[in-house]
Amino acid sequence: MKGRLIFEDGTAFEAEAFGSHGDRAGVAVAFAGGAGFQEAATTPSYLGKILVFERPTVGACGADESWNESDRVCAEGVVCRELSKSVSDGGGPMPFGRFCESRQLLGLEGAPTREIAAHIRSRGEQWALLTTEESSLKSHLARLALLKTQTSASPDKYRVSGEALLASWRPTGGGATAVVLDIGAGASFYRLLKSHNIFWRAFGPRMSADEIMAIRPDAALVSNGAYPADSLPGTVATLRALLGRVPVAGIGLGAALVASALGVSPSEMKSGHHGVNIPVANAATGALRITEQNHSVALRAEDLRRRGAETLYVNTIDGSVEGFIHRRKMAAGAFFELDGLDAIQELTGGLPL
Amino acid sequence: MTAKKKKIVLVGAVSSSASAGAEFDHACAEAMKALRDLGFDVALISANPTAVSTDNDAPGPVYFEAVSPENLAAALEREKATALLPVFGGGAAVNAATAPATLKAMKKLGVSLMGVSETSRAASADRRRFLKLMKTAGVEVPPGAVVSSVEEAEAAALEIGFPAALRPLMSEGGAGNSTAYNMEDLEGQAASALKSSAAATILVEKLLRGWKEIEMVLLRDAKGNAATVAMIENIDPAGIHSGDSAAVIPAQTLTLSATRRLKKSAVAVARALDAVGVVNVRFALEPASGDIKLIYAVPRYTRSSAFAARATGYPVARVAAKLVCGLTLDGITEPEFGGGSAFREPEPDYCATRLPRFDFEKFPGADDTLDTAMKSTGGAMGAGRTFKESLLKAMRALETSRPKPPNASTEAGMETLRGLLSRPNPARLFHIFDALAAGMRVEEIRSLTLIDGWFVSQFAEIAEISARAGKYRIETAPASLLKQAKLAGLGDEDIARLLETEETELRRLRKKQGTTAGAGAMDASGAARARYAAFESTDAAPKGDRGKKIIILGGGPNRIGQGIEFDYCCVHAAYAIKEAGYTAILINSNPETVSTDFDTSDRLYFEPLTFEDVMNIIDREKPHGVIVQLGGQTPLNLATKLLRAGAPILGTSPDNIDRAEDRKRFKETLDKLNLTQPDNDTAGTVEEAVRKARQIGYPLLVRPSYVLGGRAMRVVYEEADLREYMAKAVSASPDKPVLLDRFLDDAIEVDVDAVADGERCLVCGVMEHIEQAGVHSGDSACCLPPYTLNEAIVEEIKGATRAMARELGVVGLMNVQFAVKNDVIYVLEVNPRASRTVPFVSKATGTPWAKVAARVMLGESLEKQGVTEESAPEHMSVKEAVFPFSRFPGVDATLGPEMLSTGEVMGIDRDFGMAFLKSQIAAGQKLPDKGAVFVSVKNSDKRAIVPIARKLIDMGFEIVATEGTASTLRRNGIEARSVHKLDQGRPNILDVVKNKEVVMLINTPAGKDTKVDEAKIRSAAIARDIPLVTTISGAQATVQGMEAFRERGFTVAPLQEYHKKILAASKARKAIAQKAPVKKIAAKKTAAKKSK
Repeated sequence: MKGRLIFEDGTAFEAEAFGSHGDRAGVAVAFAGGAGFQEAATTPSYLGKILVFERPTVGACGADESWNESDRVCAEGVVCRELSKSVSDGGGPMPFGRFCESRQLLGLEGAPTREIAAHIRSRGEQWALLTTEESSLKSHLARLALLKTQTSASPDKYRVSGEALLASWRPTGGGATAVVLDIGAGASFYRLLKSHNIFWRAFGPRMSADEIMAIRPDAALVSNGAYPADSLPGTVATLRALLGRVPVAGIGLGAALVASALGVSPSEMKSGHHGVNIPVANAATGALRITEQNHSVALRAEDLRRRGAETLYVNTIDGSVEGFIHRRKMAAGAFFELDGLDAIQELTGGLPL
Repeated sequence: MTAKKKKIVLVGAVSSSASAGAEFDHACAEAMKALRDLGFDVALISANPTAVSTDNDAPGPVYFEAVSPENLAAALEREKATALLPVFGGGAAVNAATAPATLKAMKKLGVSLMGVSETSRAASADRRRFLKLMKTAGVEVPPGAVVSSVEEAEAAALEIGFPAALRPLMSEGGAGNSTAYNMEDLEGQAASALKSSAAATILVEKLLRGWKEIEMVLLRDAKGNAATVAMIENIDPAGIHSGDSAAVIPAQTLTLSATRRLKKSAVAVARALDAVGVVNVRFALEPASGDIKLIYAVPRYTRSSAFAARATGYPVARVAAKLVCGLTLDGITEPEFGGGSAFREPEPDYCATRLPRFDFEKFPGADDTLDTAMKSTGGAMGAGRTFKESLLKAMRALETSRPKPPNASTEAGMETLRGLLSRPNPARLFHIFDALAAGMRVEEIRSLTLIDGWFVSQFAEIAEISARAGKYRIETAPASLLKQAKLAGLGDEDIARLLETEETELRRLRKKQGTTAGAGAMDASGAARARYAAFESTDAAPKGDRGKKIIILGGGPNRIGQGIEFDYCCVHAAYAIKEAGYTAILINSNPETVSTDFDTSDRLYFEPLTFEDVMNIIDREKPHGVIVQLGGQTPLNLATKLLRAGAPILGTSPDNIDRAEDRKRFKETLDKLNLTQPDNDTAGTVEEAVRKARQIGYPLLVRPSYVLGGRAMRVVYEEADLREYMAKAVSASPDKPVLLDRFLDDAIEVDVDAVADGERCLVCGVMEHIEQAGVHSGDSACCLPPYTLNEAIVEEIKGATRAMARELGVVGLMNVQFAVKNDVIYVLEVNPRASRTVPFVSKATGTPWAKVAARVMLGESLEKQGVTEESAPEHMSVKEAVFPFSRFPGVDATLGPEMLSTGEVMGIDRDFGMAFLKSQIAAGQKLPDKGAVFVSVKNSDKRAIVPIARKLIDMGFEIVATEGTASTLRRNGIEARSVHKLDQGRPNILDVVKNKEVVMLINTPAGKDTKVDEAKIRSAAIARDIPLVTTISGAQATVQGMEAFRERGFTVAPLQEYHKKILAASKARKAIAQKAPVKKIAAKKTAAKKSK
């Protein structure tokens, strides 16, 4: 079955469809990484996105339900150059294609992904329609416009969390307690807390500062997520009220919300950082780390400085701000997934973890 | 960095047998550039004349000396150096730099060691320390033990079980590595492994059969930051040396969790070793459990580092050099990154597969089973969008013919096939296709080869497309299927064969259908420096080219007969083209070269050097000219076909190339010029050969007409030999005749390189061979200028060269081989292309001849270039070949018409004896100063051996000889102890050699009767590192060198100093007169007298 990826600007690419049929709309983003395709597709922060995999061959290690980042497929669709038919030794129990079928994840294979990724980079990230329907370009674009409006009208669809995938767990004692404002955390976010014996209470985006403080947490963490940037004014207000009372740290979209609470307004990158190989430098210590990221948030160092915050992390390729900290207000944000206790501690400063 | 100006001496590659690393040439070249950029003074020590790093215009002094503690100390002292940097010259360079003698000298001179941390030095010398470090780092290693005797090895193997991998600690390129499957294996292997270890210690380790192997190439800075440049996944399972493994970048089959764990562990290993610079860490991964274990960690540049650099576009060597100087990853920027710092991890959106190139057919009798000791001579890289495309391109790029499949219709054939799959061997990947064609299932192939099922499935997908295409003929094949086949990477030639048509036909059809190759950029590191052709990508053609576009075809994978000497020529051509204001475009498939450095050319294509792949680029680039004469035989062979397809070939016309290569036409040319050739003829049948041989006379040089590089060449002395050769060695037929040449016994062979512009011809250098005619020119030691030939003969040779260049309309380089016998000059061969001696001649004479030739090809005459004088160096330069015999135990180490060497070294000094001695030492011979020398020569050499033996006695050596030789010597008043031949009872000569009772062997092969015995003796000597001389002229030269050393000891001086003298002499000559006859070769007369 033929399928097409049609960008808002009218550019269309044709390839073979797999996994499902019909049409889906989302912002197409280019994902750089040689593994973790299934993980990305089930990560809540990829909700509403169409993942264009830059790695030509996708799914060589198959799929395994235990690798999911949430209990549902979050991406609207996937686009690849080659869908692997076979599975490597030590890979998952089923081919990636079958996983897509079982989850009704619509995909394209045989697509010129290098060209598509170049298109995204040069024109910026934009909405696109992934479709198996035969129709004129004009009606496809009309359909895309309709789906886009429908999505924007229902922000609640972004409320997905990977927390549910973790079996119930109690800390072995002595650990810290964190409040998580979960606006789309993946399971590995919670696994990280668990592996460091950090107890958490997770809430959705509409929690008040008083309710949070009542728990007397050691820190408040704001997860990554997929909500449109300005759709969570309530959460920003909550965070503003928490500033100075408890260490607040945000990741990805969460970091953008913390920045907003500090009075620094984020903007959108032309094309964001989505992948497993994004290099950042700690501006204070000079320490370097390769990070996994999924965000399109841009902050200006100058704006941070004006609000009393300092740039904590800088991207070593494009120089963009990848993290910040306001020491007095005990607030910080990072645009990459935390991968260890040192990362959490670096970010949360005084957090006694 | 300190304010005081540092002077860093780099240790270059030790040209050692099969691991002779072209990768170290480009690493040293890049490192020198980087250090120079940082403001350091640099110098290099390496005896490799073929390298670009040791070039005339290197960014610092170059010492052509063996990499030994003594020479390192001498160079450091002479340069007043502050630091020694060995990590870009391979394991042997590091071993030499960290040898106690070197460290002691460095301490005395106040020189620091760069690039090797104290921790890693201590850990490489002491395994227990290493294990402790790894344990602390949380990294597991396979079960094993460190032992220092055979008995301990046995005990260890019993405990961990078979198969066991044996690895000598502190050895080079996997020398002495082996796999023991039983106790008997182990005994022999442990003994030889102990010998290969500089620390006399070996590691006995459980072989992780069926585990995957992943190699990580990391960069780490002094602050502890690390980035993974590439994860290399081996297609072959654990147990094969990484240089011999088929491998792919990026890793294809790993899960996210495995990827993360491998990266973390690799960083932990590098941290534990406190390594700064480039680190290669190799892990084994058990698919079922996901367990990973560390196989090895090497904190220096390796062949894998080179592959990683080329596949990702990351300038690994340059960045590593800067890291070693204390810069941090985020403090380094390079043009390859297109902005931003060196701290990045490339994620290619393409695939690069590297396949090793083997030359086992050169070593009959050598076991071609692959294991943990490296046996390949080089490798080829294929790039494509998918693994399938890159694999098939790499297979084409190897330039080997596909092995004949066993007849799979019989059960015996299937059994053979199964054996070829389960035993790792050079052709295994090709046999996977044979097995699939024979209907074998993926699962069975997987369990036989232990290759990951995903990889086998990729082969199966290719086979499936082939099978589908095979159902059609050219007229009926659907366009979509052709497109699919091209996307999968199948070559036009393959598809044409399936459709039973001609390659050109298929090409025409698919182009008509619009299936043409685009190009993708290998821009994983940022900027688009290198490119590859792919049938999907639609990257726009690059803009902003300067002037005319010139394409240079490179030499492909390193192999015996075609190595980096041709790469040197291509590199110089690229420089010349850029200097002339044109755009230089290079096509090559060899990742271990300087030509594939991203700043050598303006644009680089990683493509196989086949007609199709080259034409794809020519179609795309539409160049003004294509240079085919610099990359060796590979591009030259494409010339006619490319010309026919409309490619603009620069330089000597393909018709004239053909006139030199076609025997009949060549004979006509020589007749016209009144030049002599040894009598010769061709024969299509045994009887014809015998008849014609009687007319020509014996001995005869025989070879098939359709192979190159001296393959299957033999000297036959009588009719019986010829019959045997005709019957066994070749399958002659009227269309593939055997060539018969009169063999000139005891002649002196001479190599000449020349450059011509169509009008004028200059002789670049005349090289006199040290071995007599009959030894392949690539295997002979030679001296420039000639050391025994008289001036009249040399002039006559030069005249003949010029005449041939004129007649053949040579534009560019030409190489001629002559033989001189009884003052008669015979022309053996003319090659209107760059020869392997061009870099040697350029360095010996101080003129960059390849560059001169490239400019000639661009239309700039020699006169216009100001190159009008033939160089006349007063020093002597000796080139010696380096052989891989020690890699192939049991192979006869005799030189003959078939080329066997894998590398070259050069010795340079004021007189011949010393230059020759230096070349021998650089080639790894440890010449003795006392003890017993074994002498056994054939009858015709008996007279010549007398003065040699006398000199040895004069120097205080004792002579041991077989009865025949001993009695000759005694008759001439030379004392000689006789020893039994192998069939004369014991102790015999083999016992004497095995007991190391002799310190040197002079053994000239006597013919086939004693062949087996002598082969045994020679391989026993090589196995024990006892110097071995197999020709009488070699013996003369060796003795002369030893004498020179006794007289004046050893001094070192950089190449550039010799060149200064040449330049000064040339200026003086020009000042005195324009046309005065040039006084040449002052030094040679004394040398010639001495040898008489």
